[in-house]
Amino acid sequence: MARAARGIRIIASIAALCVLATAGQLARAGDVADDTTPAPTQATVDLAGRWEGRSYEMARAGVDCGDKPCMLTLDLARCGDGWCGIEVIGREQRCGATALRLDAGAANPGGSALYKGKLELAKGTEPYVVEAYLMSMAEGETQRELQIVGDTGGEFRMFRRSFPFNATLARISEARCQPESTVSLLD
Amino acid sequence: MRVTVHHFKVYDAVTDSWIVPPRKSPAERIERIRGAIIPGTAEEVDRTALDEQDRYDPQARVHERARLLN
Repeated sequence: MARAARGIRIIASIAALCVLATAGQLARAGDVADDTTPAPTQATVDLAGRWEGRSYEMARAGVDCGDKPCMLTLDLARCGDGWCGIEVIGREQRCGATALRLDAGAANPGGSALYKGKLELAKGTEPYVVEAYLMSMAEGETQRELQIVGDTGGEFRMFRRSFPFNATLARISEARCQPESTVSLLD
Repeated sequence: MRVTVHHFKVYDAVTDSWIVPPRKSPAERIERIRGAIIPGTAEEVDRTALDEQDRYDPQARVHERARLLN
């Protein structure tokens, strides 16, 4: 039952992603005559922290996850005007490469936010073009989850039936990894 | 215990370009963060000279020497 409800929620959020993206495109194209529609504003939500969630794509890619399900763990930190996700690797939780890059995001009236960017899970592989949707885990809950949907081929085709990459991450703790940068000595 | 550290280049998502961080790292860390070793920059240092992220600051030794001289 809970699983079915979760499935419905994920489908609903992907549908919401499509609607948001379409609205954004229409607005950009100047096709929206009604200028009273509130435009998405830049998201001010602090995404910083360690986010974790199950990743079926990692299992399919042949990543050795031992006896446990493959988990994608990312430390999100401010990075320029957007967000960077540093991969946290293995049981020792060592800091890896910057795998995720998101823009500053666009906030929506309901408290959710939409981010766009790229995700590269392995060196030399084609990065996923991703849309990440920050939303409440359940109605009325303050705890949020980050649903990441990724497409290949250099563009995000929002109307496709299924996506090559899907993961739902929850914030589990403070971040400990920082993106490698020229400014890291000043940290 | 001694460990070999190298300068390396790595993609910097902040500037959207490849950079050479000022600190050196062992080959294992460079591979982990998807960097590329810069040949000819190898240096053998004591493992205790690395920070918690396995980074070695070549300037730290200079600063330490200056501090001891003052």
